[in-house]
Amino acid sequence: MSTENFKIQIRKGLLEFCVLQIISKKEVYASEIIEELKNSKIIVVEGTVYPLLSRLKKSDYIKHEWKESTQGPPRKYYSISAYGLEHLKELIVSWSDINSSVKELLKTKK
Amino acid sequence: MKKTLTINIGHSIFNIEEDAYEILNKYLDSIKNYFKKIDNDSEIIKDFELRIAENFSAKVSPIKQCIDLSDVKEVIKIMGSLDDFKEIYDDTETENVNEEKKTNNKLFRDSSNRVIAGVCSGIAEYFRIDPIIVRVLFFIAVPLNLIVYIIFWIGIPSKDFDPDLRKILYRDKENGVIGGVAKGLSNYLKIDANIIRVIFIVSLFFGGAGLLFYFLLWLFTKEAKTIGEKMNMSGFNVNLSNVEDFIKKKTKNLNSPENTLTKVFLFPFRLLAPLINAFLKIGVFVFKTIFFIFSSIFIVFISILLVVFSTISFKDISPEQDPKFHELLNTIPDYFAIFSVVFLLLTIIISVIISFYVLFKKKSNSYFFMVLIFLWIAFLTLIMISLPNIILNMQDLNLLPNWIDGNYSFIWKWNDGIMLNKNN
Repeated sequence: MSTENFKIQIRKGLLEFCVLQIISKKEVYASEIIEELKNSKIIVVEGTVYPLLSRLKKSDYIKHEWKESTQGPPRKYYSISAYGLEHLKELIVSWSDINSSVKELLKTKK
Repeated sequence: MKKTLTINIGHSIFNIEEDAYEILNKYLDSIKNYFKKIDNDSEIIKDFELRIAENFSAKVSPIKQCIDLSDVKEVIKIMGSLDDFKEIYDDTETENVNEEKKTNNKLFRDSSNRVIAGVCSGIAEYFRIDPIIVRVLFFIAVPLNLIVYIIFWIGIPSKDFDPDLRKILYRDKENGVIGGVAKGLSNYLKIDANIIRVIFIVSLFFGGAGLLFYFLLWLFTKEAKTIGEKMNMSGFNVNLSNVEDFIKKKTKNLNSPENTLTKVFLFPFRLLAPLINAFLKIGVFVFKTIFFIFSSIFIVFISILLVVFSTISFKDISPEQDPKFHELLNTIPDYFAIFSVVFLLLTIIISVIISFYVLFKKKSNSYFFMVLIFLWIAFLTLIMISLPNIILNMQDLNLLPNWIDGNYSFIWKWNDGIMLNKNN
């Protein structure tokens, strides 16, 4: 497995988790999510976010609302649902589990 | 100076240059197509458009009011191409490919790209070649094709094909020597243009079939003008990396020097090209003029025949005026007269439509044309079926020889219409 492929696989697995995490902090619109993901180098191209948002919405983890913006057309603001919050908690637990096990693995190797 | 279009994307309005619009449009189409499976209420594509609009508004300013090709390319780069999505959503992708493979094994009529019923372009789709090639072959193979065409028309179900997946045969005038036909074919078939040129030239010495083929292709194909068409011509699918590849490849191609053999080979044609081009322009004009004259004569002739036929069929000619002719008319049944009149009317309408198409490239409603052709064939068949009986009948009554011996002529009289007169 090449490094590039490894990165892709990791990102792919974590993208949903990260997006949920960002939305859970505050009400955001798509561009803000994209900015944040780009800054933390989780996504490379913006287009990948939209299908994911649509899927999260279909699973009722998130909901959206149209809000007027001071500049330009109205924006779509996303917020997390109670169900989504629950799901996120589970994800956080499993992530910390994996994270600590991987850390443990790396330690013993040294 | 460039032509611009106004688009409404994500509730915002932008002025966009034509070539940029074309690329953007193809890009959005490809995304729409890609997410077709999971995007039932087209929400993803709307979000995409919203984001593109946001990116566009960052690109325009009072000093630069128009979105150009580089802006679109940049935005596509930001949004990501299909390859980028494939990395994340490879599960939807495999389904799409499977579906495509399935449909390609069957022969369909192509209802999305048709002249009459889509038989030719359906066959072309099946063999993954350009419809124009099949149409030209059909055109050459008159009259057998008519029967084959109708059988296919009846026997094959129709289906819409995705036009973006189709490779299109264009004339490549930019890189061509005379009309760009050979170069266009070479782009299309991915064969070196010189091989095709040699084949064309060699065929000149064998009855000139290649020449006919060349002119037919010239007549039927469009010249690739926009970037989208040029990409389609080379079989590129539009997404960001392809646009870049294509432009790179093109500039590289232009810079690569031709070898001496090619130069020597092409020299006489380069020399002749302006001459042939001028000649062809005149040729097309002459052809159109001759075609116009012939089609006018044909239409007028059929119209006269129609008038003659309808007046003598529907007007009673008294037995006293000419007993023989009266008897002859009586042997023609009413239904046959009606068939003939309708048939002639249809012939006139169809020839007018075809003339308009050839002379001005004006297409009529193809469904309407389809119905006309169908009716025309139906009436022709009816006439063919009933004609032998009538002729036999006439022969039995010994009417024919007297009537065709040249002693009679038709005369137009204002009050009475067509009259049959005996010559002295």
